Parts: sequence; structure tokens; C-alpha cells
Amino acid sequence: MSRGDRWLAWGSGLALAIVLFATSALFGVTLFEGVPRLDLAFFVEAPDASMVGGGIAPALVGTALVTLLMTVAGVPVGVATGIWLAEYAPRAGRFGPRLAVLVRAAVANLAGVPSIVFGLFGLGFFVLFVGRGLDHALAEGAPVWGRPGLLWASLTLAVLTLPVVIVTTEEAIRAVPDSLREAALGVGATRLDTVFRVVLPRAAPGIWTGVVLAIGRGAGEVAPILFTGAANYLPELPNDPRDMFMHLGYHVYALSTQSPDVDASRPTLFATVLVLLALAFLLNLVASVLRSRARRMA
Amino acid sequence: MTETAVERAPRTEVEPKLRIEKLGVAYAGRVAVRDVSFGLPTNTVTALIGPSGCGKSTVLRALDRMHDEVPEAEVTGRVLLDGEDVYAPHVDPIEVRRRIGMVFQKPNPFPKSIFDNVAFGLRVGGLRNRTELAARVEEALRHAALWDEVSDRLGKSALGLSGGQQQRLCIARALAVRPEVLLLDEPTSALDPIATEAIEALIDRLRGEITMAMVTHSLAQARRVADHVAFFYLGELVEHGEAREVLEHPQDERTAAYVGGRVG
Repeated sequence: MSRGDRWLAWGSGLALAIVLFATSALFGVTLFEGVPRLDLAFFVEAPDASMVGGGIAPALVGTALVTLLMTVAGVPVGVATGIWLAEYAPRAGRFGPRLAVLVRAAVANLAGVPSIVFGLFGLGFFVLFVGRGLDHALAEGAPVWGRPGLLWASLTLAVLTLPVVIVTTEEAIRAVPDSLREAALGVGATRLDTVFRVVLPRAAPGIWTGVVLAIGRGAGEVAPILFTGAANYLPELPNDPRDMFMHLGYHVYALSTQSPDVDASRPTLFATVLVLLALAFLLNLVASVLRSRARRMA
Repeated sequence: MTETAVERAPRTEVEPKLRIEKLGVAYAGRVAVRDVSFGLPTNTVTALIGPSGCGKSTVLRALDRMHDEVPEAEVTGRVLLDGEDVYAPHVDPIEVRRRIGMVFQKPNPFPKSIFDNVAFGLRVGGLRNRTELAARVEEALRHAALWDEVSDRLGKSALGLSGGQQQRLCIARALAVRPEVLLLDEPTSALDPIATEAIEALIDRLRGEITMAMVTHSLAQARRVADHVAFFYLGELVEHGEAREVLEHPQDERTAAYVGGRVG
């Protein structure tokens, strides 16, 4: 072994040790402190006002609801944009390709915006502009639409996750071989038939990968919902899309900074982190399973 | 090089099924094919031969308006199907492609069942009736000499078939919509000799029922299956006529060089 090789071996070994240590430290602490706190009640009860006892049910429900609404609002727009970019823009006359360049640049920039900026955008655009505007138009006395709530938080997250959906959809559609499009067009299929009956079914696993990645990203983000709908402490479940809601990620933040007795809340805090991590890993697992399926088809 | 091609088709009064007049194709301003005129006589096989990159496939694709899907492609001239220009403004390319089917170089079955592959063209054409669909699928598969091999596994994926079977499936898929003209773009170049033989036998059986044009790189194949031959060189039609005449007694020296094996 040459000296360079030896150095490389040592260096890699050290890097590996750091990664392993960081990972196991993160999980070790979380598991050690969090697991004893986990029981059935933790999942079905609301937290108590002291933020020490009780469970995380409202945060679980809130996270599920905001993620669901985000998906319903954002994924169709993202997938449609991806389809247009890959399938229609190149054939849309002289301006289609140019418009596509602009859209791609916009998407790339959107992907680079820090999530807290999305939070401010959501507050400014959805809550204050759209919401207050609605209140005015409907002549509501007190703000009904123009305050943070589930709906606005979901829409803000939807905008945040758009780039992931758009980029993966476009890539998945581009990966479909042209020979299949020609086969469909050759027997008299319209472009629409070709897209919906041949291209999309073939691109589906890739598109689903993007959707799951977007859900994973959206479910874990806190900054965008900070000003647009998440509540510090709200044991009641939302029963209107305009209500505020509790959220797992935000609850972690609240437990660690807003608790009256931080030491007493520690087990609850780590148990909540554990649930959040489990959720994130589950979504990543689903995404990688889908991705390997997509790769097998290609 | 704008001299007229040697035209040696017998000057009969019968209008060919497909008449190509002064066809030109350019990609992004670069001319790929210029001033091509010849006819596909009804229910015969015409082979388009010539060296690689001389415009054979480009001509073939122009006949069923596949260039419409390529934004930078520009087609000039006329393609008359039963005397009507398929490029006329009121003509729908979808309708053209129903009447003029196409089979591609590499078998390209959909990742669907054998049945759904053959039924695809019928379904997008609006046929919903299950009994009729089943009958038309069987008809097409029998026509393509594939029925006996797949009748017991119509619901299985088409990707499980061998290359030769896949290509016959693609022919069945094209035949299912009952086209009047079938275009074959090097249909056997990706296949082994035995599968090639099966495809050639199939083309021979279809002769007399459907008008066919086939791009081929194999002179031997042109000899075996073609009634007429069109020889292309550098984007131009050099010589066209009865297969035996063109292949055995070429008039143009470029044709002679190619069929004599001196150029290729």
C-alpha cells in the first residue's frame, strides 16, 4: 500500500466514524429519552397546558391534515406543469420552448428560496392579501379569512413543494422512450391519448416518487406554517379549514422553547421528535421503493 | 443534382394507392430529402433502398405525417392518398395515421397486455364494445400470424414475447385499425434470421390485401419481398421501378454501384 492509499484509508475511516457517531448520537439520545414516554395515550390524547403531560394527538391530526391539503392543492398543479414542460412546450410553436425556459428558471429559483421566506410570503399573500381581500369582499366584520389557518398554511406548503413535483414529473416523462409515443401516434392516437394512455402510466412510478418526496419535505417543514396557521397550544382539533392547528414540527419547537418547565418537558419533547423522525423515514422509505421500481421499468 | 429520377414503373393508367409528388423534408432548415416523386401501386410491396442517412426513413415518415410531431421538421410537396393530399389544410393527421399504419425499426410494444396492445388503436378510435374489440383483436393477430402463439395468454404482458413476436405484435397493432397502407421502417433490422423469415412471410401474405412500403438495408430482402424498388441516394430518389428491373438492370450508375455492392 502506498502512502497515499494509507492516508486515504485512514481519512475514509475517520469520516465513517464521524458519520456513524453523529447518527447514533442523534438516535441514541432520542430513543433513550423518548421511548419511555411512548404509550398509547401519547398518540390519542391532547397535550396538557403545562406541556409536560398528555399526548400529541392534535399535532398528529394537524400534520396529517395540512399535509393532505397541501398534496391535494399542490400535486395536480406540479404534475400538470411537468407534463406541459416535457410534452407540450417543445411543440408549442416558437414561444413554447422560450416560455419553458422561463418556467424552468422560475422553478429552479423557487427551489432555492429559504423556507422562512415562504412563511413570510404565505402571510403576506395568502393571509393578508387573499384572506383580507375575501373578508372585504364578503363584508365580514371581524377577520374570518384574513387570519392564519389550516388552508393558508397548506397552500403555502404547496407552493414550497411545487419544484420537487415539477422537476421529478418532467424527468419521469422525459425518460419515457419516444418509440412508445410514435407507436401510439402511429395508430391514430391524439397527443392527449398518447400522454394519458401511454406516457403517464409509464412515467407513474417516477411521478409518485416526486409526490412522496414532496410530501416528506412538506410534512417536516415548520418555517412556512409559522405565520400562516400553526398554533402554539390548541388542544381542540380544527373543524374548519380556516381554523389554526397544531403541528408535529412546530410542537417540537414549542416544547423546547415555550415550555414553562423545559426540563420536565424533555421526555415529551424527545418522544415527539421520535415520532417526527419515524414519519420522515417512513416517507423516505416509500420514496426509495418507488424510485427503484421506476428504475426497473426504465 | 436536380436531374429527374429514372422512372421505370410501367406507365399504366391506374392511379397508385399513394402518389408522392415533389416531396421535400428539411430539419431546422437543413434539407434531408428533396424533390421525391413516385407512387405506391395498390396492394403491392415497394422497397425503399439506399445507403444509411440517404433519406429513406425520412420519406417514409412523411407519408403518415409523423414529421408533424417534430417541431423543426418542414415538409413540402404532396402525398396523395387515393388522389387526396394528406397535407391539405383540412386533413386531420390523426385520420391520416388511421388509414396509413406504421411499423418501426425496433419492436415497440406498450408495457401492457398483448390484448391491450392490439386493441389500443381501436380504443383510441372510440371502439368500446367488448365483443367487437375481442373479434378485431383476434382478426389482427391472425392476420399477423401470431394468434396461435399467443391466444392462450392475451392477458399477459407483451414484454414477455420474443423480439420477433413483439414485432409481429406491432404489425398486428397496426393492422387492427384496418389501414389501407402499411409503412415498415426496417422492420427486421433488430431481429434474428428466423424471426426475419417469419416477418417476410407475413409481408408476402399481406401482399394483395394492403399497400406496403418498406425501408430496408438488405438488398437480399428487397429481392425476396419487393414488387417495386425505389433507390435513394443523398436525399434524392435516383431510380424507381419494378424490383427485378432496378436490381438486375439498373440504369443509373449510382444505383448500379449500390446494387453491385460497390457503395453501401
